Amino acid sequence: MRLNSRILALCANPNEPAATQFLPSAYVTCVDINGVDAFRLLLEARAVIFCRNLYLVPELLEVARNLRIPKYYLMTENVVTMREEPQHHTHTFHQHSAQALQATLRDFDGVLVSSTRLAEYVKTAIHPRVIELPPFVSMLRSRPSAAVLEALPFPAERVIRVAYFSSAVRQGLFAQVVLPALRRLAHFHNIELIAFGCAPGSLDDATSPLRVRTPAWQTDYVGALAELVFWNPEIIVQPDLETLSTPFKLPHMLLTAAQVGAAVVASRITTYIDLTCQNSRCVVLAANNIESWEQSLGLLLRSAALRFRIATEALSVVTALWPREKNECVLAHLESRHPAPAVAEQAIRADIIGPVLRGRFDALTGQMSGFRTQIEMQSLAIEQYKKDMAEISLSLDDSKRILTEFDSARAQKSICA
Amino acid sequence: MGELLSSAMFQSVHIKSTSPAPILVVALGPQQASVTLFFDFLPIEKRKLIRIIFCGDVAVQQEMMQARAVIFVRSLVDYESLIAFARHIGLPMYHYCDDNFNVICEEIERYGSAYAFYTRDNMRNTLADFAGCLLAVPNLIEFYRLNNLHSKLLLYPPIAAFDEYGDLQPVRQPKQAFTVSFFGGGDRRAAFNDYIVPAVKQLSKMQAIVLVAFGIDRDTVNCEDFPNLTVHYPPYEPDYALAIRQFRHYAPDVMLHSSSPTRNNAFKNCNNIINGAVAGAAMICSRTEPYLGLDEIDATLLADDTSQSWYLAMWQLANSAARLKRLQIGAKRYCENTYSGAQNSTVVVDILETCPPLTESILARRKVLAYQLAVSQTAALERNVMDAAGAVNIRAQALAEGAAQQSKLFGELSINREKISALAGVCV
Repeated sequence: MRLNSRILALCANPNEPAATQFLPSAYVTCVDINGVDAFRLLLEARAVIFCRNLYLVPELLEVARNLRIPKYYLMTENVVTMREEPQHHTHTFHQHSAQALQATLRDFDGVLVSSTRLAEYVKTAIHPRVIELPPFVSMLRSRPSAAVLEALPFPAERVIRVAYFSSAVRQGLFAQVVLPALRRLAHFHNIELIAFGCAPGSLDDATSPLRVRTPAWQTDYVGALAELVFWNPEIIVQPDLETLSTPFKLPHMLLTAAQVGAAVVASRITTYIDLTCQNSRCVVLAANNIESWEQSLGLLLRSAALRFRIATEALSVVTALWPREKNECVLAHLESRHPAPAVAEQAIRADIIGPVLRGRFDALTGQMSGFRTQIEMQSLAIEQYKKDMAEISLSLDDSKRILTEFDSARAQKSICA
Repeated sequence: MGELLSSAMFQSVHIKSTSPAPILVVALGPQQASVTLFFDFLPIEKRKLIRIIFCGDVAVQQEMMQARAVIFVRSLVDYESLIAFARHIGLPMYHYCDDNFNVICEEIERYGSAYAFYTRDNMRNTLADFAGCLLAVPNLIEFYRLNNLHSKLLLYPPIAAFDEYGDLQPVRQPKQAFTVSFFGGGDRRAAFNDYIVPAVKQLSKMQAIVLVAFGIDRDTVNCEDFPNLTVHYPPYEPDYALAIRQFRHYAPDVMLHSSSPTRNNAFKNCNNIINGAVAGAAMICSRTEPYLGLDEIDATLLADDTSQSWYLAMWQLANSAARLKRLQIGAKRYCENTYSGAQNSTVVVDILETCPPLTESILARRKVLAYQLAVSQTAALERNVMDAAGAVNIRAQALAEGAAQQSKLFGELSINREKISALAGVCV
């Protein structure tokens, strides 16, 4: 039964796109690598996939090495080149040098990579056994319900929402080239900018009629996506620089936009140039200067038909490019290669993971006793506080009474006088 | 306690040696009479098949992993987490008992509320997934059957293993005088004070007598007017082997075994006759269950609940060496006939025939189950830690707000004080 014995993916956050967009839930259970659930599932897992950050929980990496469990590493970006240019990336993967990866992955059964270019890189620099695993479209475009739309604080007149839905490292470029273009265009179009994760007030400019909202960036990708759907943007901007890592990146934003039903305007970098070679009408490109962004955005703002066509085209491109079946096929193959562990094998695993679990338990016990002491001390402080408060309010009442007495004495005096 | 035991659980996933004994006997006090007389004294061939272990031992769970069956001695409450563990790993469980806890539970005025757990429903529910109950007397079996507490009931009496005690010579020789001894638990002391002490005093008016009162507070017996009476007060000793050795040191001629009225008497066994016989003593017991009728076969004399009756019984034995001898032999013969250990051996064999032999796959499955239990305990602990962290934060916030409030009031107070001292200055 597949329910009981599955392939286990260990991720920093089980909802992160690096896991959910690549690993179909029919075959893979994604768990928080820091949680106790990982310990539960490791015993009966057919295989384990470490996602993105390989060194997040070294003790589990060590355990997996000692267990006779098939191991894979899921690499959705070129972590090696990203490490070399930390200024351009949110995650810098400082431990992931090519040599370190080579050594760590030596006894791994394979590396799952998200693109052909990345596959070639990994094969020559890191690990001989590489399996291509592109992302897949996990959700189809889901517009908010009528009730939600009704509740939205829509301005009375027609407004076009433009979303910035990207990480903090691109905010500089966004402010440099995209924001000025939008401010200019706001004089001619009714635009509302939904800038995820930007500091409230940081994008305000009294000279432009551009309206700005800054929803907080949710670390949970599924939650963030739900919020994006809520705001119902028609355009998503994706400014980016060409870096060493760019050729290995996926036009991810197209997948997001397709799911939300928006048209994407992206910087003219390898990622998107590759895509337009296949289909030029699924994305609008812009060079990284204000004029070019103004021109590209203007094109879309002027024509609802164009926005719709590009969004539709993006959806058909990603569904053709990244069908779920392809991923299911890869995972089904892994599943057939790695049988569910027999009870005897599970018992051997229990022997190996047991002490690590024990360590976790002891650490928690320590934390618990720390909290208990803290709570006790707080209780004492609260008792003391109550006593002090009673005293102070008594003295305060006293002082008020004395003052009133003074007042009445003075009043009497003045009457007498 | 809960946390300590669950932390011990992790050892169970790490097993190195294989246990030699297939049946594990888990007890609150491994040296108690209930363990020694009933399990430790099994005939040697069967004794090899059991291992007796203290329930608080850190390795209990580890040993349970490799046992074919576990027997919990007397309590059902104190082993809660161990029972849960055995249940979880699918280890067949037996419960051994030599008292009627349900009756004790209902006699609150006599036993207090310490046994409140043992309602029939609680016992039935807890025992539901046990493989069987080992009970010391037929009356208990009948009670369990009538109340449908369990379907598999096995008679498991105490064992009179006279060879096990060795030929210990009494060290307090030469004996000064006729010696009687009280050697019983706390619930028998009321009867001791009410009937035995006056009877012994009366007897001492006629002859020298030594009273050895185990577990009785020093100077309980006022001997001022009784020069012929000597009283020893050895302290109560929970370790059965030590206690019985001390008992034998005094070489008592007669053992006095008074009972208090309780419905539980009907469910007790006669293991005290074993104790008396080991010391070579004759028995005088209260005329109540379970001793009724045993006077007819000279296993014991019976005394009513009056000092007169106890006096008469003692007087008979003090004044007839033949009578004394007959009762001493009678007690020993009764034990040899009734408590030979044969029935106990049958039960041990029955348990081993019922419980499957350990295979590699059973061991592996248990290991996996124990591991999973450890994981869920860790998860529960993790939730508790998170809750505690939340509580600490909320209280810290409340304290901070309180401090702000306090300093505000304090500010108000010092302004008022300044005003007062200013006004006071004006007045002066």
